[in-house]
Amino acid sequence: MDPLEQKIKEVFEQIPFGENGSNILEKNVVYSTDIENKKATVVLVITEEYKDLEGDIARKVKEGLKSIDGIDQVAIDIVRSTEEIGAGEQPAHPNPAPPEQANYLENYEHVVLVASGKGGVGKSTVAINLALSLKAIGKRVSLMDADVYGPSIPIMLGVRNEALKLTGSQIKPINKFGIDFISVGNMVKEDQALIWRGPMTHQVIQQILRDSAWPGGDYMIIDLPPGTGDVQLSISQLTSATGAVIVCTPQDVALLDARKAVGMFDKVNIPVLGIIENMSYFVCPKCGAETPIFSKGGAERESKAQNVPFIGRVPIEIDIRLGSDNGEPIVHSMPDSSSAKHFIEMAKTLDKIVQEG
Amino acid sequence: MARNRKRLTPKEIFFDGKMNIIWQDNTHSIYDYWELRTSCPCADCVDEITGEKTLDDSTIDKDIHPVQSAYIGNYALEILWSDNHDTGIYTFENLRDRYPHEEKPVS
Repeated sequence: MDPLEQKIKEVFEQIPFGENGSNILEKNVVYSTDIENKKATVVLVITEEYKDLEGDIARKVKEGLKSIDGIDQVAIDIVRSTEEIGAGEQPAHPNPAPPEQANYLENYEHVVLVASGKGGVGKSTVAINLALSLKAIGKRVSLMDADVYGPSIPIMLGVRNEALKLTGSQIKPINKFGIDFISVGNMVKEDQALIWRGPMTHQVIQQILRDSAWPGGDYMIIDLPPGTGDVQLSISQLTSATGAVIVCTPQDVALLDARKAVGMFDKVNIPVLGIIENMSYFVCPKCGAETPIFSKGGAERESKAQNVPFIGRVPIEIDIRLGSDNGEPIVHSMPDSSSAKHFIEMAKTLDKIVQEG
Repeated sequence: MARNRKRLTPKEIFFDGKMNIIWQDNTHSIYDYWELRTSCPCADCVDEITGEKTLDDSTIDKDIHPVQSAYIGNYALEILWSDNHDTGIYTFENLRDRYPHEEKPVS
């Protein structure tokens, strides 16, 4: 018992109540005593029967407590029965405020994730060209490369050896072709393999989202790693994404994995905005003939089966590949090419889907 | 668009002695604090591998109440409880379909 409590107890014990030299403490007249900022609040239970004594008891309690060092003020509440206590009172704790929106990238109108079930379907190429196409139709666009295991955007945008700089204490996005972007590829050496466990990737993703000087705008395009793993989960938890675009190739294996990606976004309540079929058909650079190398129309069928919009298809063309490898994405370097036009059309379709909500 | 998102997306969440969620499909769900706390799905309260509940409900005070809460992305809610427990991720899917609550249409 602390000294103050001990002294209070002694005071109560010296105030007689009932027969045989009993006191108010023994007879449970003292219901509660609270001390806050040298003010004591005492609740006394004095039944109808002993009503006449209440003035005397209250005075003794007041005087007794005031004589204790550490108590300046005494407030006394007298009730007739313990049932009166708390009647009509709310529980002692206040109602909490509605949940906070603790998400990052709030200065973007829309956050769109570009995802794929499996690797090697050209997701990053699509993400970059989609971002540039949205820019071309007049949107303010930023791009985040969240593919921590194989960041390819620095190569595709021609900034492969450029290190990120700080502005104040924040990471400054690199600006290329009118788009601000950050990639893990610009944070570590190119040939350094990142062997990270989940908590580490979560931290890096959080750092890019939270500690970067993102300028804000209409669209933030996030290029996810392939599959359904840690990064996807981190992004799903840390942002309030408008939706996801799934990139796949027409073969069955790619479609099967795309289905898993759709399933994952369902789980985290992120709408699938649509499916893009990449490497849809090969366009012969000599004669212009179209060859469906990975079969045809699979993604469109899949999107129908999944009840999600089909956004469009991108052919396999040497110029797209060269553009990506040379750091000159096709929408930027050859805006009049048929592939660039495909991308622009898809950007318009995507923008329409997003605007319609 | 993908299935039935309105069912699993809150329009409004508030606390008034109970937790209330008004869903976008105009359903009002009401959750008792104690029932919600004892439904906590976190790895401390439920065995990660077997899915068996390890939390002893009798250790949770009847007066348990949320102190703070935050959305997790689009799909869940995290709650800091008065016993300082905050590791549970309450997905909207589970809130709507699994955890005990009362449900009524928005009047």
